[in-house]
Amino acid sequence: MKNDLPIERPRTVDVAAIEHSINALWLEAASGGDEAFVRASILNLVVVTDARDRTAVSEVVAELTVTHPCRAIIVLADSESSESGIVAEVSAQCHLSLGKRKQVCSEVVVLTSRGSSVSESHGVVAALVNSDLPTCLWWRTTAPPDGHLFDELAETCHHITLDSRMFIRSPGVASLQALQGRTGHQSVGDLSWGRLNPWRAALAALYDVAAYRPHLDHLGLISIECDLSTSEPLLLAGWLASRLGLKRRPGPVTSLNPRFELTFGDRVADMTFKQVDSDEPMAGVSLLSGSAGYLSFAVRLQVEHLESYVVSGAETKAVGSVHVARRSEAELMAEELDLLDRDLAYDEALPIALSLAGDLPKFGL
Amino acid sequence: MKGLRPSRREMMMDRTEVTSNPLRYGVRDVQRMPEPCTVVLFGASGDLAKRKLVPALYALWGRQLLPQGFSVVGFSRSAMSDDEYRAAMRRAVEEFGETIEVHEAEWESFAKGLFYNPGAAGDSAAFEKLTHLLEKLDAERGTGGNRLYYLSTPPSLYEPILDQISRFGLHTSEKGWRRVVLEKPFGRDLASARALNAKLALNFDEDRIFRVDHFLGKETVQNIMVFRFANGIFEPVWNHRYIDHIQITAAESAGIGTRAGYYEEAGALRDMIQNHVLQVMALVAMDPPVSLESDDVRDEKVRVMRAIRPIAHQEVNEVAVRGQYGPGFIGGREVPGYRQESGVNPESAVETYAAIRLVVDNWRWAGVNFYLRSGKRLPKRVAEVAIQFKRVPHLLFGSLAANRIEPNQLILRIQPDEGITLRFGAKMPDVKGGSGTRIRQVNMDFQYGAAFSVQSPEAYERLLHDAMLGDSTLFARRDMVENAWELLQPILDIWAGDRPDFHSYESGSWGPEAADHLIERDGYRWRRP
Repeated sequence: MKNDLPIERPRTVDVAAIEHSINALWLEAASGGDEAFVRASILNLVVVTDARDRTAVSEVVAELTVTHPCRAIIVLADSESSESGIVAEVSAQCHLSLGKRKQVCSEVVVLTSRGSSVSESHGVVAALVNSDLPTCLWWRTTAPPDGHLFDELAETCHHITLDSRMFIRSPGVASLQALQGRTGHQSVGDLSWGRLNPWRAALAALYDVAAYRPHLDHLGLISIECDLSTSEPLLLAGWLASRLGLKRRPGPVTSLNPRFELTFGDRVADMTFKQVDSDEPMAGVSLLSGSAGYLSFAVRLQVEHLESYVVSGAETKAVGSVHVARRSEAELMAEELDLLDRDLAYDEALPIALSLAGDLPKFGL
Repeated sequence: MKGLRPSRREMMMDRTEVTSNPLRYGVRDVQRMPEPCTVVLFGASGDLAKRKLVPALYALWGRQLLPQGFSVVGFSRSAMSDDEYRAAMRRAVEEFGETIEVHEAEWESFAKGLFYNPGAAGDSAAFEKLTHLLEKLDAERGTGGNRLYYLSTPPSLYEPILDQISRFGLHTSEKGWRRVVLEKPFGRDLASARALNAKLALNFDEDRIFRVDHFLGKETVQNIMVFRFANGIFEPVWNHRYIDHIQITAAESAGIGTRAGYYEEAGALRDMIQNHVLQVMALVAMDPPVSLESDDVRDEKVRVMRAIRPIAHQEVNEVAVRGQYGPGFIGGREVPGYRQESGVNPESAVETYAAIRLVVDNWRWAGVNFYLRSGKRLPKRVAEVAIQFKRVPHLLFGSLAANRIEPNQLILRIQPDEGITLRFGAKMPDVKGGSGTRIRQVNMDFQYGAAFSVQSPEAYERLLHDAMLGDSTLFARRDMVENAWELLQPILDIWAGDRPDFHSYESGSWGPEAADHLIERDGYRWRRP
């Protein structure tokens, strides 16, 4: 992490005088040296994370400020601490703007909050956000998105980002369900949903071909090979179901592997999940058309490429290949910050994903 | 364009897309996907294709913005097989795709859609082969009869190519769409522009003709509309009551390089003013369109052109100045004059600098002068719009000698250093006491590089994608092109005469003195960007 400019080195300040300290930081930068600084901010980014993740989150924020200059307020929550209190540090993250010699700098405030003070950190945060700019709350902690701190912070923000991977297969899933119901003026984003975008694009591309499009109306089987400890497979399933108007048909568990029956009118389709050993949450998706003229469409992950296939009888035809480098947390979050808006496709997919998650224990998962 | 309400067409497109492919809805960054099609690239081995078009197509492929089955057929005189063409295009992408990384498997899947058909522009046998190839691609790659004919050739080849397209019925089909894309210059004067448009109209409806002005593909030029119409505070002052005059500059520090053959037939007025600069002027001067439908936007731009006061032949010398760069220094390096450049006639009378004063006769702009200038071998490369507001009606602070109260300026910087600057007066702190009110001009800056620290997409990526989508908003319409020629024709007529007044300027200077006189006569000075 780059911290070689004087203003990039964190300095501890009085919590009651954080704003004053930030201004002093800029005055100091302006008065000394030959560097030209531009103080830039297009949003407030409030990050709540576990105290032990300080280094990781600082690096992510540093990377984010390159594309999204902001006032970043990082709350390092140490609820287990026997002490209480909030310690504040201020610094800047600077980088050279494109093609220029100026340093474009974002402000970073780190609030280390201990014990009972964690739940009261929102007051300090509220005083620091620039109310003229949109505020994004990134709930980057294993603590479920509920409770006093979350509720208070959420009230002041426009967009909430979390990673459903952390909760969907845990008791925290109830918080996700509650979050879905409560969002008023805020929108909710999910890094796991962002990870799925290349898969959704590849699957959608299969049916852009006019000749293949009718097969989407006659799906008989949707098969997902995946790691079911993550949320991506369930979100993808929810997306497919919501986009195709498929609803779950309640019924008893009849198979060892997760298998769900979906209906649309008089159409019935099966959705199956196959647990595979993989470093990635998703390994492949197959969509089998049940119409006359058996045709199967598949997208598989092959060494950083999503390969698309159309299978007709014994013939498999590769129809596309897209490079999909694993995206860093910062890249996923940067995409969220570009949007800062409701994603209706996600809003539709999540309830179905949560419903599927709720039933997975019936299959011993 | 972000921030503006979607047009009725866009909303209908969304509904259509949902109906036709429900999986496409909500896929990030890929809201609009063209139908599978074949791009026939005439001039496939030429500079434009290698430097801009194929890298742009590969970039679109990599960003999943092109459909499965997308195909390219390169057409040019060079003898090449499909594989040789693919290899050549890969080299081109690697050399000229500045921000593009070539991934092996991704390139392989893109290259599967690249084909080559050798032939000259008027070669019927080659076009017959092309016809069969295109039909084969429809069958094998599912391109559905959709074809985009991109004429990236010298303008002299447009006619033979269009004739062959017509001869083989390639311009029409019961299945799929047929579109044609041309690069500027669209003619070299009013008569030739009308003839070219008439030729095009024989075989293509206007909504199938895409005239490229790559300035319109630039993010910062598109931002002019967003700036004006997504913010409520500017429109009330965007008129003759508050604006004094407007300067539009498109300056280059480069000379003509190896383009003497083209430039000797063109000159600055044809090369830059007739298209790029007048397009920017239209965006600045237009009224808000009723929607973002391409014709609604272009209607407003054409209305500006029609409102510009015609220039009579006898007025040309009063309102237009031309010049030609002589030897000088650029960036500390000595450079030759235009007439010493390779391929240039030593007696050439082609202008490398042009400046004109225009007046828009409508309610919004009555009395506001528009000063347009463009030139080569100027001190720096810059394109900007400088809006000079009127002075305050009463100078409260003017009695103090230390004050220099200047009218406000709004600068829209197109390139480089993309951004917007508002210049206004601010009170200086009275640190010594007793100094009274001292005012200095300060800048409030928005810089693209600071706020959006990402590389903007190449203009050609946007333009190619839009052409495939059938969205002609960023392309020049027939009437706009002809109106622009009609406006400038008197200047072309006079300048083509017997070597009238001709001004040279030193390379590295801001143009001929006569250009300074043009604007100083009205009490103004050219901005030094």
